[in-house]
Amino acid sequence: MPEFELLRNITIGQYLPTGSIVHRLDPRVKLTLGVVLMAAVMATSSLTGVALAFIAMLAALGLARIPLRHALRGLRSAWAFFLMVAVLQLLLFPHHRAVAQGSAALCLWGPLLISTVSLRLLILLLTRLASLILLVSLLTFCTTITELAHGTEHLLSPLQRVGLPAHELALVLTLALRFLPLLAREMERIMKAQAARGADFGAHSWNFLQRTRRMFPLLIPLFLISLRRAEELIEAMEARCYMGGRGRTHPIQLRAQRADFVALGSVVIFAAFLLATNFW
Amino acid sequence: MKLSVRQIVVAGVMSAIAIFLGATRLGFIPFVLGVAITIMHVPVIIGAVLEGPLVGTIIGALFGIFSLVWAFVAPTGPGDLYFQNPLISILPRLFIGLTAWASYAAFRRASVPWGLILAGTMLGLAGAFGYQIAQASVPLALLVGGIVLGLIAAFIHQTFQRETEVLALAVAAIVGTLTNTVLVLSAIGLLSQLRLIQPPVPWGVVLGVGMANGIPEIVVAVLITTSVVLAWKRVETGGGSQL
Repeated sequence: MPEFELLRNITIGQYLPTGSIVHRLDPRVKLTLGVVLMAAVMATSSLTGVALAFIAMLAALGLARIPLRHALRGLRSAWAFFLMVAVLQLLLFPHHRAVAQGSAALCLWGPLLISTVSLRLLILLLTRLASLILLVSLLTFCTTITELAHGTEHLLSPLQRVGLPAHELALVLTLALRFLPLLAREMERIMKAQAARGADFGAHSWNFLQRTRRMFPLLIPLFLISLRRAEELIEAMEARCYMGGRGRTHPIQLRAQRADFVALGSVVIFAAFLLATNFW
Repeated sequence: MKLSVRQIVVAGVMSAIAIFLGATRLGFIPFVLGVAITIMHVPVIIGAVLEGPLVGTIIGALFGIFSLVWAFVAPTGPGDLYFQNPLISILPRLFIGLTAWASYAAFRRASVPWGLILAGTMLGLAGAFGYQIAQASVPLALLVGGIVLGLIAAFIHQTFQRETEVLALAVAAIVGTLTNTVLVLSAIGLLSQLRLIQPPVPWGVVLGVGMANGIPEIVVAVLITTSVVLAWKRVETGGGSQL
């Protein structure tokens, strides 16, 4: 009964422990680099820049010793998405205006008109999309969720001075991620319990009302069970006199190594270079 | 800004539900033309109603960040292309908790004079809006006007009965859902107009999706929010669950 197996659907990211140099980078550095690169790739509007970014992503995957086939699986499962994007782009782009502005028409078939400008834009869009997908996958391939939470906390901690509760926010994130498998297990139990009472989740009906009505006996118990669990957790934390924030020490101390600074420097230079290609 | 243990835990658990609904696709109900209506913002509304605007904003932010990541890692439809922009996937979601909490608080605490002022304001807004619709289609204006008048009448009735909880929850769910739908779609429309996202979406499509999705989303959100919060508050006050 695969429809009752929810646990395997909730893997956020897919950590692959290869122990490479990328894996051993400081999570703070990895997070910063991820955000910097994402912004740079999004802001790049030249074909050279986007192509360079794509090649760099493949190189980084190699450096992280992630098997290429494994990494490209994410792209492969998204092919339908790429196709839809391409169709949408070709349908919604104001081709006639582009042609009027002097771009050559490549294909004229009935009302369908494709111009060089729109084709260039489409290639740009798809390459950028592929690079971004690889980037986010790379980040989740070589960083565990715990590392991500620690990294976030440390990166936010300077903002504690202006009153942002960095430690508490990181705790919210950790709690949310810790609760995911619990929720999946609870949901499986609820689904089986409702199925035992005659609820039918298997048949895929296209009846919108029916599908919606089917959700209520699942969602409302899920919310109530989670709130009850939250109440238990609050009691347990208060009984142990939990105090967050100031003066709290960590079992894991993050220390940046030389490799971290090298990575930080080279990626920032690369991002600046990507942006510079816009002005060529 | 100080978070109590209760606020931290409720924010964590409600974010977990939002993330869970997204990861298992349980939070999407397929609807006409492959556009799914979403209920992933309901945990944000419930968190905001139970623990205030800060908690609502935190849940909204986590929900937004995860919808951004999914748009990259597991894209499923053309809509995901737009959610790859943080201005669309994260920024609008920060406001769901704030507006839901504000409307809940306003309606919950309404004393009789305040209730009358709120009802008057709504009546004015509904009148102006109804006039706009009536210029396009009179039957539609009558239908919408009837529903709005019924809501206002229920509100006035409840104000005098001192039992505004149910209505306040329903309003919070309506306002929270509208915040999500309207802000996300207007961000898409606005960025399209500014040519900042490709391919651009014309306003007509944005409006159509908003109309088609907004109304079922509101209905589902109201039903879930009111049943969960009412059941929970009865559990809290020891009255026993009515479910």
